[in-house]
Amino acid sequence: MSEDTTYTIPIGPLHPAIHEPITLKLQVSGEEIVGVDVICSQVHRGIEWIGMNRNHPIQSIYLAERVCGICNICHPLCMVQAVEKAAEIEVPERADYIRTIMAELERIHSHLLWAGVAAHEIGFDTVFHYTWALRENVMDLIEYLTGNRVTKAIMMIGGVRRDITDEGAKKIREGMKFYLSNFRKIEEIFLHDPTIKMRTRDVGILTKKDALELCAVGPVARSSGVPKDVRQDFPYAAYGDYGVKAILPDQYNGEIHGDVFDRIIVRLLEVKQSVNIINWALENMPSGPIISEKNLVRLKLRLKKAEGEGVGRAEAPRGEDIHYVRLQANREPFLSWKIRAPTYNNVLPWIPMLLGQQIADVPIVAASTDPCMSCLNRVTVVDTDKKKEFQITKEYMHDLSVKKTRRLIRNGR
Amino acid sequence: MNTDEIVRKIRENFEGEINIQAREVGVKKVKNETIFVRIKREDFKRFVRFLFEIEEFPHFSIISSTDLGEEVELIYHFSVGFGEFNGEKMISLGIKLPKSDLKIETITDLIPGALISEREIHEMVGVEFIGLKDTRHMFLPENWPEGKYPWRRDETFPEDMLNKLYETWKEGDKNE
Repeated sequence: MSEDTTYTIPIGPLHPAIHEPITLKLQVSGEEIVGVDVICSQVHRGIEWIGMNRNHPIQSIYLAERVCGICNICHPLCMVQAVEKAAEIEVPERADYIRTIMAELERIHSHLLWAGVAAHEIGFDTVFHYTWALRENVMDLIEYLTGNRVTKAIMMIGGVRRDITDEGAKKIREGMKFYLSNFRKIEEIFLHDPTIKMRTRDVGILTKKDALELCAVGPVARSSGVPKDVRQDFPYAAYGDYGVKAILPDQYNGEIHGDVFDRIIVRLLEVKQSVNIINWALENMPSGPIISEKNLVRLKLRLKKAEGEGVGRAEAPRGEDIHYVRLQANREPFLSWKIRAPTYNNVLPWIPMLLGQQIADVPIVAASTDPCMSCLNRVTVVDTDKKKEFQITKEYMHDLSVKKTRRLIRNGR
Repeated sequence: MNTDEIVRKIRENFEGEINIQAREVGVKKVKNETIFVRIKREDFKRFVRFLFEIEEFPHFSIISSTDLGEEVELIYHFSVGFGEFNGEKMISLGIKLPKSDLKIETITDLIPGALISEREIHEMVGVEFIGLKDTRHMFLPENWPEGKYPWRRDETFPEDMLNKLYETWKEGDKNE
């Protein structure tokens, strides 16, 4: 093959190696990747549009939760913070602590989920099942505290909806003990296994300069040596009292490569950090109310009268999450709502990470940013061009419906 | 650099409206601060360059847009001062563009990370970014009709495309 012969290999929109819909167009020369183009938009659902045109801010909390199946504490947290700033609503201290505990529980579950996926990507399915079995513990804890495993429905404008009781605190402490005692084993598996190290060391490197220029966020930026962490830089909830320090990979072994292995280090150390934050928050939790305005009707009226804008920020498991909200008096839905999930900023760094790598490294490199496509995309669009194959008419639907009814009648006899 | 210094510097160099939004959190009442700056379109690029005087690599988060009727307001959310406890300040830069002339300079030459956001505002609101090379659709499909902008509140909003979810089915599906 001559040197200037390149081929384009499309990966996705649906591909077994990438768990969510995104398209990568890779220019390859032999095995080496020489050009990368990322195409998003397969699962854009128009959530911001719904918040701007249809829903009341209180309904939008639950909509914000559905932006992502994993980060469903940090999206509503960002949104309520933005609304609280825009409408000047106070938050009780205890609520700040409960929000912190919830956000950290989410980080533990998300990082363990990611570690499992990463192990699966390089073919270690036993490790994958083991990590996810560990993760079940925190999922049960979340279910106990909020009533739900996935969409937790605990955030509210001006506070939180459920308190942490003494019984709950006891369960959290037990859960945290469980993770501390198992941490050594996870560390042993991920950081001392020669095969994992071989597959991930110096693979998918993102330099510090690229990370800064492309505005990478979260563990991706931190593993390239950029100490960006919203909890540290721009404290919200109870993080101002704790004083979080951004975790860089050199705290573990004294060196920063900016590769996939460093991303594993950062995430695993962050699990430990989260455990410490949760234990600290439980010890120091102030007593008092958990919400500043319990009466929903009164809150709704207050929001309707409010005029203003606000920016809510939070450190999601994948990095900085930011919501901008603008309220207009006598208008129920937001005048403007912009969601910026962390993956949004972490997609462009894929390009320098993938250049020069081999095709076989694409899954682990892509997975190393912990991409979350439904956070990134938010609209479903129907093609109304009648000539296209992927389009149906109302009559056709009706026809289908009639057929199904007939079938049911026939089988019923 | 603390908030007062930043505000003083902005006042020295630019004409415009400055609002500071502060929030005290937790028991210790640590304050996080957002500076909303609203300046004229002519000063926009100069302001972005000015951010580089404060920090070597200012962090860019997102552009948000608001349809205000006759004009569209874009707010660029930047932050400076990461790396130390409570050191980061948000700078949200608001620029109003009249709907008759929806044009603004690109910042991708200074901050390459702004590419996705500019492409998004380009397709969702119809703002033209002068100097932006890659103007393909980011989130909307390639065959999206021209001149339709889902985040606008005027005649360019694709009203006739709403409530079509029932059509998301495959025609000619043999396994009915």
